[in-house]
Amino acid sequence: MKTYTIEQLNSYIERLLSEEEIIHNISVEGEVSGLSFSGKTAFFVLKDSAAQLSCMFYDFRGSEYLPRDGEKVAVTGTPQYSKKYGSLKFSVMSVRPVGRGELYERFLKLKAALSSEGLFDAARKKAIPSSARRFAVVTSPEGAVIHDIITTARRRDPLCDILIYPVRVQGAGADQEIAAAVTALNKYGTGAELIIVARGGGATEDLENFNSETVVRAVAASVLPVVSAVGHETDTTLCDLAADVRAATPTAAAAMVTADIYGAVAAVKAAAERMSRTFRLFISQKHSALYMSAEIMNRLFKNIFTEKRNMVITRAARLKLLSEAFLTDRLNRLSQHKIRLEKSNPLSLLESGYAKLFAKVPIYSAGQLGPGDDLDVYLKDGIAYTKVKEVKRV
Amino acid sequence: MNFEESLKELQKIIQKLEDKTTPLDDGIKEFEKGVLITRDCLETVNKASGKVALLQKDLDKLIETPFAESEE
Repeated sequence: MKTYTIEQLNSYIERLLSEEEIIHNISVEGEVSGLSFSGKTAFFVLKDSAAQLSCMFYDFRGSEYLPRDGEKVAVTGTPQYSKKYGSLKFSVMSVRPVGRGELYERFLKLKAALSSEGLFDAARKKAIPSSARRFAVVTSPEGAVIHDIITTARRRDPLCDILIYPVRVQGAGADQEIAAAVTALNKYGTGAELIIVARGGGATEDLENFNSETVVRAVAASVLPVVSAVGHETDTTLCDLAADVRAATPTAAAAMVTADIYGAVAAVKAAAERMSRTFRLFISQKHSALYMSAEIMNRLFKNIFTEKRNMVITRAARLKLLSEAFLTDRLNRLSQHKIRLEKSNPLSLLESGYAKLFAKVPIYSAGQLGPGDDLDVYLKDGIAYTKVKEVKRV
Repeated sequence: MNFEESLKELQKIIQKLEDKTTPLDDGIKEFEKGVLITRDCLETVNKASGKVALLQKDLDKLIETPFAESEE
């Protein structure tokens, strides 16, 4: 028995496949699973009840339709064998959905009809409250969708009320429930400011209820603004078109209609802090104004005091000068008087050779004297004691 | 007063405090007002909590029943 290398064997298989043109450019049908992406290439496994086939779809972005897990599709392409890895992959050239062709046709027809009625017109769209106090959610009360909505709304605004109108979101008759819910919310006062119609993503068939005419008409007729958050961003349902606004996800819908209270709280806190700072500044300004007034008053007082004090000093100096002058004047006058007095001193006459006579009393007249009287003669340098011999009056 | 109104009110107070011609007494009153507004605002958030209710259709009205989220 001959032994081959792996490369020899794999090359042989590769050649067999490439020569077998009957399996080139063929169409294969199956259900998609294990969808994943790597760069420009999508990888998935096509399954049916008996077998499976690995597929790679190069440059999938050019494709109008992209399959999702669980969907039935028909792929067109060629099986390719990699001799390096010893594996077979179906190289997909194109992919199209299977089994919903008729459904899709119906969808397009209904869309056109409702659109011509103006139900999707931009002019009909109502404004959505961005900080609802209370809003209603039409969805399943179980599962991720309502959980996401509650969590998101609570995280943003813990004060708002959420009213859940439980409905089935898939299966026959679900569309009637959804439409009835929207109608009831409009009919009965619940205080809700708007309605969110929500459903998580799913296979296209699962979203069929949101393409129902009943739902579209109920949503279009709603007086309360409606936010539609149905499926993935890639599938647009008629409910999305009829709603006033479409949210990419239930989480986005919840964020859209609730106020960011915590953001607002932060803003209020920041404003309060700023107010405190401004107040401190305000007070310190008032304080310095007061201080300045006090300072000015102080200075003024000092000035007045100094002025008065200077006045007193000046006046005192003048008074001193005046009193000194007065005193000098008086002294001068006194000394003049003294000179005059000295000049009139009788003793000074003695100096010039005159004599003063005393006979017990000063003698001024000859009549005071008689012969024999003692007469004292005061001269400049002594006293002569004499006796009167004779008195002759002239 | 909601948050936006509170914010506007605080803004006004700040403006008054920035105005050098505001008398001292008025300034103090404004500041006290601002402190109260802030306190009220923050208390609302801390105290109050919105409800989550399940609506049930009765004959001619919708009845609210408490909603307990199922544990997942």
